[in-house]
Amino acid sequence: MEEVMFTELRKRHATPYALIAPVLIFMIIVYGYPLLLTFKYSFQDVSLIGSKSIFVGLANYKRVLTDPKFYNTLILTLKWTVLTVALKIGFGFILAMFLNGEIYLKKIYRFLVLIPWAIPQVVVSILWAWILDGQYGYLNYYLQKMGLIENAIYWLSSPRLAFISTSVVDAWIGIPLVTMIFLSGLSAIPDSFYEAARVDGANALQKFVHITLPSMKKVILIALTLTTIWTFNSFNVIFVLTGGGPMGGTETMMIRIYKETFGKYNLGMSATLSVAVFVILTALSIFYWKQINKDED
Amino acid sequence: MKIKKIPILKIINTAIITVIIGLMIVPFFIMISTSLKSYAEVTKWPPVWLPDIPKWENFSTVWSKAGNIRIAFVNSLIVSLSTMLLCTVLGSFAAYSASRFKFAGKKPFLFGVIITQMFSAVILIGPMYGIIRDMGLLNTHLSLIIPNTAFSLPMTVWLLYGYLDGISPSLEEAAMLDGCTRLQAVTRILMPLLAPGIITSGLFAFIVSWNDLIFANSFITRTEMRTLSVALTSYRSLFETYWHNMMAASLISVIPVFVLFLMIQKYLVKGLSAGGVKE
Repeated sequence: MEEVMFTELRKRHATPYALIAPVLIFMIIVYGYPLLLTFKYSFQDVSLIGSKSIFVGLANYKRVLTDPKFYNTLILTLKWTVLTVALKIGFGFILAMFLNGEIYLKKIYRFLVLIPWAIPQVVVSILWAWILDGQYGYLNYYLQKMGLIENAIYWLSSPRLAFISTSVVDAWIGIPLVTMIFLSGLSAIPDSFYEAARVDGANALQKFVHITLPSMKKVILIALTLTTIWTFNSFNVIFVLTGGGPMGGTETMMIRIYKETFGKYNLGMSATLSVAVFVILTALSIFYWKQINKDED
Repeated sequence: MKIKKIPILKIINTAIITVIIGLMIVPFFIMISTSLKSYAEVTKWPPVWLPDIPKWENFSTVWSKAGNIRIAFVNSLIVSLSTMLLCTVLGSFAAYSASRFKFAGKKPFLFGVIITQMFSAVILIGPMYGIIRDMGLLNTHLSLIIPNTAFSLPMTVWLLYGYLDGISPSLEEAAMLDGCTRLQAVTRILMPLLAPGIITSGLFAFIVSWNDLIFANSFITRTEMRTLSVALTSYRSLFETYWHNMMAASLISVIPVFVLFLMIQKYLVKGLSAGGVKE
């Protein structure tokens, strides 16, 4: 009897590990080991093709940190991220407020709002390339018809316009999920809060400032964290719409790293840039994490 | 008085949201209408909303003639179905373990799984290319199934973990007291209850894998091994102005994921937002 219980106990100890083992193996092959290699390559002169790999110490880091192009890319990425995140969070919040408020056909609208998210990003990008097309695109036609612009605009041909266009398209895809996160936060606020405010004679703005915003603080921070990370990592939209061009106008860190890897085969350099991204994203996450926890005290 | 006042606000709100959401989904209608136009109609100025006669043959043209859409479709299907299968099986094992057992390293495991979501594939693609090449897997379906599975697994594990936590372990325990083994309790009692969770997370993995561009673009060079995402992007550079064909091809690639999305969106949104808000 004792022996039976012992094997049962031992079995119980091994079983949970055996069950998570396959997932662990996948994670190590696809995340762990490549991540280690990235750190290793950042100290090497190594090419994607061929077998050359020479230890160069901090040379890659020195090259990156003294290269003005690196700072240009970094600033461009940060600007692009801030603009895109602002669009996603702003529109996401407004939509969530409407979808949580008094409207007809609520269920249908809650579903329709998800459509941009349900279409593959590659397809969305191709679709927008068509809408933004300078020659035959719908956008130019309607802007001209409304008298907002005179001549056709080539949205993806100037660095500044391409910067804004890619940001708007990326936001268009990202808004549904942000809306849903906010919506679940809004619906979790107890009605009794608003009821109490109404009894105290608060108007709509006061209710929003004193009840909605404080109750949503944590959800907003979580949405900001996730959206910032996702947006910083955005690749598909820019890659398909402009490929980083024109004249580097949309060349974010992700596009730059991809080009360095598969365009120039310079694995050492792309690894060093990856480490920089890794550091930035970790710092961002820690910052948000602290804000979220500070809120709880 | 009050009863009269509320519907007015409600009507105004509905009107505003109708305009916003209308603008949001207009591009989708542009895609459908363009896919049914002729070349003459695509290059017409001002643009027309609806083609005179819908050109359904655009779909058969892109399917069987230009651009290898059919082969790419089959490749995408093989990769996505395999990813879906692997994710649900491996994800259920891990989620079951995390939900029903106490073991050292459980929290670090769950945390480690979710933290991987921070890394874009771009920063790992260089080393991964080396690994895939050294394993001799370039230009194979497996070179896409492995990374796609790994990238969907975190969500699969967390979705299923959430579902399992909502099902009381007492049901399995009761079955085990009645003489079932643990495996029997799981397959006979738990599995039917968990089915919606398994379906949701599986379809989620399918969609993620169907939408992948970066792995397919990096690990596949042979035309006959391309997936839909890659075929569509190269379509663009090949047939720059044939927007009607491109939209038809795009629509073909959207339909499967869109249908799946319709089926699971309710559960998916619940799971995703719960996961996002919890963590």
